[in-house]
Amino acid sequence: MSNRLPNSKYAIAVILVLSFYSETLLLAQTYKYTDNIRNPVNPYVSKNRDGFSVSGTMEVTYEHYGLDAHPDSFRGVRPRRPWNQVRFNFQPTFNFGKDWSVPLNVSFPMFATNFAGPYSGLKNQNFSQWLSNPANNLGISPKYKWAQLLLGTQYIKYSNLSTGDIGIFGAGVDLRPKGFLLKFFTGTSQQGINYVPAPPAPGVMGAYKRKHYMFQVGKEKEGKYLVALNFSKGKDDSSSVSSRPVVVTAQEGFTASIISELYIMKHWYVKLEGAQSYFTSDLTQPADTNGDAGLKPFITGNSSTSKDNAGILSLGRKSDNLDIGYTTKYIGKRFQTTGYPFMQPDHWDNTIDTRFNGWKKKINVVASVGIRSNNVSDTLLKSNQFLGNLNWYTQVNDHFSLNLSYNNFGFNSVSGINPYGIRNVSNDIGVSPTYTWTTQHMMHLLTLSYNYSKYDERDVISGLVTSNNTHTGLLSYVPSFFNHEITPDVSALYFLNTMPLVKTSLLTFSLGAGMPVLDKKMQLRGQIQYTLGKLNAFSSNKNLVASLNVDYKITKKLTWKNFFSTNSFRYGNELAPTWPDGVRYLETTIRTGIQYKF
Amino acid sequence: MRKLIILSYLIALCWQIATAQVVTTLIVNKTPTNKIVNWANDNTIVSFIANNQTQEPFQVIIKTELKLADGTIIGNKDLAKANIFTLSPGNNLYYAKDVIPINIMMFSGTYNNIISNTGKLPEGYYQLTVQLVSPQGYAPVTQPVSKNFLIPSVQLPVLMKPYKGQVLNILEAQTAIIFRWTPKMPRTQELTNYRVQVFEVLSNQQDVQALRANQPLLDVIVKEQTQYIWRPQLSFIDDKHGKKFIWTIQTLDSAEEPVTVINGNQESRSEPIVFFVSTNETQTDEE
Repeated sequence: MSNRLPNSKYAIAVILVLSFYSETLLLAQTYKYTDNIRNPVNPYVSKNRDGFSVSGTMEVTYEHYGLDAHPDSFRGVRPRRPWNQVRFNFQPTFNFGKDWSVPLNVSFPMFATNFAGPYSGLKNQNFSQWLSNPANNLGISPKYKWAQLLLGTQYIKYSNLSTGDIGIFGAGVDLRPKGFLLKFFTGTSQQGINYVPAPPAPGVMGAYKRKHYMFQVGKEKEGKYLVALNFSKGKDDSSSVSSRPVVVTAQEGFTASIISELYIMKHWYVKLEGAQSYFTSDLTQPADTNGDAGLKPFITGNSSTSKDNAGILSLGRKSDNLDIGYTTKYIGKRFQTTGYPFMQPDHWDNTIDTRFNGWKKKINVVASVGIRSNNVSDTLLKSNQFLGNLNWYTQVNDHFSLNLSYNNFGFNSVSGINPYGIRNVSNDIGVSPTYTWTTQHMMHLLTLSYNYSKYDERDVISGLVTSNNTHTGLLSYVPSFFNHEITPDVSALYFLNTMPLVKTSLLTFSLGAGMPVLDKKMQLRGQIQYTLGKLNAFSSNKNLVASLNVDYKITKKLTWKNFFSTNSFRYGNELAPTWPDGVRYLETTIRTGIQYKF
Repeated sequence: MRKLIILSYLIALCWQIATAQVVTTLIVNKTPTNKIVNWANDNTIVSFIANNQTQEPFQVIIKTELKLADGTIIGNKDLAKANIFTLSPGNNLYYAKDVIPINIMMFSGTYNNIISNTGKLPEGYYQLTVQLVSPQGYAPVTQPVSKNFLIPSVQLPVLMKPYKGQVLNILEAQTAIIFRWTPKMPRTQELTNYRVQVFEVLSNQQDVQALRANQPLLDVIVKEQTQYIWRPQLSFIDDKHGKKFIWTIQTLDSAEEPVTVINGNQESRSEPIVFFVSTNETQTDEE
């Protein structure tokens, strides 16, 4: 595992601190439930315990993963978990009376495993890098009435266009006096990471230290209205690395947005957000000649700075039996915000969603229809997507229910630089009847499910359309015994996918069962799944997945959780002649952990 | 002094005669790969034909300029370091490695940074201008010829299936999950690789946090296709409340490097989508 990070020394330090607090907490809990027993020896328990309570969980989990391939030189399968991992979760909320609360969020793995983003591939990390690694949460947010202090790792969401998708290690406040909103947070989402070229692959892409500032001011009356101004800024420190990243540039972004929400006539709502972003894609570029690229004093632009707008409007009605809403969302071509690093620009979405109940709530329908235009700024490459979903559930009578689903996705583009435009259309239709009946000793549940998926794709050079068809049939049977606590289930599934020159079929049998033992202190749940897979005329591959859950309740609040799983896969002759018949691999996962619920 | 003037006059006259007797044709792929450092290895991107209509061979240098659509010069060849070619009578054919050798091209600040860092030309309309000049004094031998080309802006794939918030049946999902996405826009002749990644969102994690912090359960590169059938070979029963996953596509070029140059998240990752695996198939709305 080349990307396992030896961050255990920092983790151990935090564990020691946590163990101290945990002990304190457990003692405090003990005295809380011992009805005013005072212990002068213990200085951590206040004499007045009135109003003190703790909620939340504390958990430590160890996971082992194994992968053995035969022959040893076979590289067709890669590990997908760390070989050994320990995870700590410590998420209690301390309540001191009705006004004070202190939520704590501390969770981290012993070995960080970053495969995407700036930390990907990093071998050794210093303490500040460890603190801002997205794998780790170390946050505390004490709250007194309307004032909350935010410290450590926080995922701050102000709105859908300003900030909300990035973890930041820093400090800030969330103040809500008399319905006014005053929020501020600043911190670092990533530290400077030096570029390290491969080998070993993939190297380290590198990143600049990015500092964030965000601010919100507004007024809110819950269930009535909300109006707020949001400001979000992120800036890279181009001097934060000694080995400069090759493909990553130092950037800076500033986004301002205004949000307003209005709830009227009990069920109706209107939500609106408009935003403008200024984004500098390369801080090393020279100043712009006109001097008006930025928005001083928030951001000083250069020749790589661009400005663009975005907006979201949604309106609709919500009630017990009927929801209907319309949403339109426009993201400009150059709109970019550091608060949503994966937001895709240059599209316009229009969606109508609905949900309703009918026939004495025996019918439930969820549906949506939408059109998305991509590359709206470029007529040469403009494309349109159509998306339609329908899920219709009917409880016909006490025994019989029927679920119907339809999903359509179409993607069309103008031909642009190719002879033909892109045209991909996906249609899925599903039907799933369920029949329930009861005998003297048991209840039976039989479900048959069939799904047909057709995916057509046009080649942009030849214009030829290829069809990709998938049939999935599932039959499952779940008996429930009135006099026994075992809950078995059995199912069979057939999957067939055909496309030009390729035919894939899968036949799966699954058997599961669950039951409590040891006076219901232990809950067992197991499953065996066997799949025969066939690719074209090659011989079948065979796959066996077996798993077992064992949860043991040590006390009312303390549970020992265990999970064992194994996956054995044996190829047919589809890998020949490179690999002879008989290539196989075995995966094992063992997870054990203790969970304490406060 | 008079002899010198006459000699200069004669040389100029000779070059004028030669100019009139060399006909040049420039052919440029209208949408070449943006990886300009690889152009030298691909003879289909630039072809420059110089037809020497005289009976004698003579020496020339190929002068090259790269301009934006508005005529701004963003790069030119360092003529002092340029190869000297002998123009034989008849057709002489040159390719990108002769016309626009990247090692002696001098790009302006912005473009120099981007090309030296990424080896790629940013999106936009460009004009390639080529002219034959003399090795001494770089006097024009032919008229400049120009051709336009486009480095298209890349529209990353949009994830189609599983769609946002979709809840998959646990029994079906344990056997196979179909992933579909729209192709990279526009499609070019260069091979596109799609890296499909699926991450489990653990109970204490934010969605995007899982993507940036966890080891992916699926990490596979799909060449050109916009569909992948995943056989998870996993048991999802360890969490009775169901499981949550986040998936994304990283779009890579033929060298398995991110396709975009400086825009977006700098990783060429499409906007990720969350889906669920559960015994209870009810669509959820993340927003």
